[in-house]
Amino acid sequence: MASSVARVFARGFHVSVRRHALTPFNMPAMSPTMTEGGIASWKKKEGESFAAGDVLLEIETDKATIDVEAQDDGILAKIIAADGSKGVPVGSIIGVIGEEGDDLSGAAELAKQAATQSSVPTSKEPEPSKKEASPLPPAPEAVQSTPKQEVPELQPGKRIFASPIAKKIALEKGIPLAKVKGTGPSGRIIREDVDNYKPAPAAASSTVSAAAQTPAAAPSSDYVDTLISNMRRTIGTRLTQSKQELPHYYLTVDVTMDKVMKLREVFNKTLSEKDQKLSVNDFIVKAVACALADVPEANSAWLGEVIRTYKKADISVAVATPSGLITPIIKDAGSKGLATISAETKALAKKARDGKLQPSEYQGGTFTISNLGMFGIDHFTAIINPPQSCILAVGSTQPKFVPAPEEERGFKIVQSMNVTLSSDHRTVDGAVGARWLAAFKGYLENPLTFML
Amino acid sequence: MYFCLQATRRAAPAFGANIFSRWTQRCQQIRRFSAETSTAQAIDSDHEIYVSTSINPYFNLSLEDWLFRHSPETKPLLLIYRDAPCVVIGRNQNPWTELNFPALRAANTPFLRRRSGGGAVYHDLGNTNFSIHLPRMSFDRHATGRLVLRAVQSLGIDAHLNDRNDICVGLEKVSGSAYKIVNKRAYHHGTMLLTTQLSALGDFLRPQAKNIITKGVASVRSPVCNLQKYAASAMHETFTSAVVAEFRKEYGITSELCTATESQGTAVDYIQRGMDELNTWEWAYGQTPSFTHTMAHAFPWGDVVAQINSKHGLILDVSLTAKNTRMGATFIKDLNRQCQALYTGQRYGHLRQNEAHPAATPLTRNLGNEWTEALRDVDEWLLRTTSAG
Repeated sequence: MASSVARVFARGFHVSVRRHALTPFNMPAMSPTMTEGGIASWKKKEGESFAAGDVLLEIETDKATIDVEAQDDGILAKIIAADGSKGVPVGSIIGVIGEEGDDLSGAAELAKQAATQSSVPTSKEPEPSKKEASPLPPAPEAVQSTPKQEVPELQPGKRIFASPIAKKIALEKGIPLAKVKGTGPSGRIIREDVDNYKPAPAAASSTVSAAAQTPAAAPSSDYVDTLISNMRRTIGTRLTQSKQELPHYYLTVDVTMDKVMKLREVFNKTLSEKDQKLSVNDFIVKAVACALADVPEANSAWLGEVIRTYKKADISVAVATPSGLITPIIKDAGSKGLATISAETKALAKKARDGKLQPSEYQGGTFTISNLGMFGIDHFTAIINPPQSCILAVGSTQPKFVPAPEEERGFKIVQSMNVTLSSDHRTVDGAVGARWLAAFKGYLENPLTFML
Repeated sequence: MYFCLQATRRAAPAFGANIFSRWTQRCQQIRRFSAETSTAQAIDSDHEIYVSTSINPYFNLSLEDWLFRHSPETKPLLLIYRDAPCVVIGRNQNPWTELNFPALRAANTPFLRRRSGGGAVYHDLGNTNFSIHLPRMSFDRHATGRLVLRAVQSLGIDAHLNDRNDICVGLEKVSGSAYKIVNKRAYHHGTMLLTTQLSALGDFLRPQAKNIITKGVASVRSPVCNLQKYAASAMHETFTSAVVAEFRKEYGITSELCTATESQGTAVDYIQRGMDELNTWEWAYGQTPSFTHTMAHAFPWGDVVAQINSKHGLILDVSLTAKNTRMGATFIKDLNRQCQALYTGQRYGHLRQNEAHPAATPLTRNLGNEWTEALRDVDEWLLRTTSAG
């Protein structure tokens, strides 16, 4: 798909992917724990355009006044939550944004839909209430449009006649062309057909009632739509950006975990009196920190003009929470013992799941570890969190047969764990990455060397 | 050279600005005759620790804002200042539901609206304000709260942080905090009661207006006390030193502190403009979120209930209902019509101070005597009830 887009751009066409791109603007979460806030004042008027970086509005939450900036250029098509609205839940719709050249008349319609369905407390003033709009005007449209869509499905294998632009838009939007009725010459599917096909699923998806943080989905037999929360949106943007901009490359190695397992057992016997328990992950964090001390190039960040090499290893540990992925940080892991690392990891993970992490606890970090071993994953490659340079993907530990001439049988069974290091080639060359991974393997296969 | 107070002043300046303008004018005059050099060097924003010698709240808030917007993005910054008696409300508060205007008027004490959120506080020379500026990415209000807490504890006081991040001793609050966050920077600023006149605090922060439903942010009231109650050594100088020391320790700052004087600061255009802006009706009152004020009065000719809707400090509409009135059936309709004409668009709390308004002159109507009387009664009553002085 990237190549076809490139080809289109090469031809000099302006392809507007989001042609009817009136998008809802949601109340942002200014911290992972924010649940609601007040709109202090909009800094742009309806119809006014803005550039990326402009302050769109000022919100107040918990004694802080915060400027909310625009991420991209656009036009403020409609303000839904007016100045002075209080208790606006994070994620609820507060306005409608469009792009330059968009038809903004649809904004009022979108605003009505949002007002009828959302639970945003709007002004108590005697304004003509938008809530009086008849419930879900798009719903009858959807019902009417679906009969049109009931086209005899093309038999598999038959060619689909569609214009190139229709094919492109359908591909981008994920619309199955087989289901679209063509109205062009000889029943050809043209762009309008693909665009008009949108309203059916789009209308159904707009029948979402926005709840506070985890918006509920529209019930339907075939699919469920969930409004994108701020966390999901952030994850999406950052990881896409990372994959697109960083030259990732991957190094993989199998680590023999027998000695770690034995040492862990021994330590846990001692620590069980204090009600503490070490996990394999704690050993991995420590080995990472030791290896980073040996190969500091892997503990660096590409900052545009300089490469910053950190002296301390602040390790971000990926934690899966119900609302998404977050990476609390264990600061200066190299100077901490296994027990400290263990206690901190547990405390941070608990805070992350409760949504109580402070920004300083998850922002920053110089290296990330992502462990999917507990899900039985053998091997995977992870996506680097910029501006970090590396991320270590850890798989599960499994017994493996290895040749062993010293054994009678000629082989032995070892506990083997696969790890894959994703590195940014701008800061970490292949040989450097390999050196780091070798150092890491060395430490983890001989955990007593942590003490050196 | 004459720095402050240009001649341009918009109509009806904010109450209290007059006091400071007169005060500053006097200071300027004194300075002109003093031996001090009158061409003050403008202050620069490259230091990390600032202590203001000015007690002009308009200056100190503008200095804070200027430092916030102009100091290097990645360096931590600390500012300490004290104000002459005044009341400061949060960015999105309603002064009428927060303050006691009659008391403020009687004591000639001004009120200001600051740029950060939160509630209303009283400043006087027994209160010291701190302001910690950090890059947004590393801003953590609990960390900065703990920094100030350690400074208080170093004075030998057993203080703690409550769940709203305010410093308390026992059950009483000694400090209130507010925050402002923009793209790259954030600040945590707050008060510290050392030797404040607590009776004045209680008096000024006791709103007199009743029956106002507001969208503004409400203050959270708490019992307060002075730090000096717990440690005789707690005063401006010792507290300032303690905070500076903790700040140096936390962020490893070794550079000299900068003493900011008002003449140095007002040489900076941004600061001067900021002081003027804080002084305008548009900022002090015009930033008030929407509210509805309902009031009732029994006149000899009937019982009237009036409801005033206001937004941004201006009256959107006035509606009246009357009971037990011996006036004719069309009386109340006409009264409403007259009031709409008179008051819509006027500044709530400053009725008839906006000379530009066409109905600024007192009522003259060629209605029957009774009606004119009634209208005048209502007018006087509304003026009295809403007047902010």
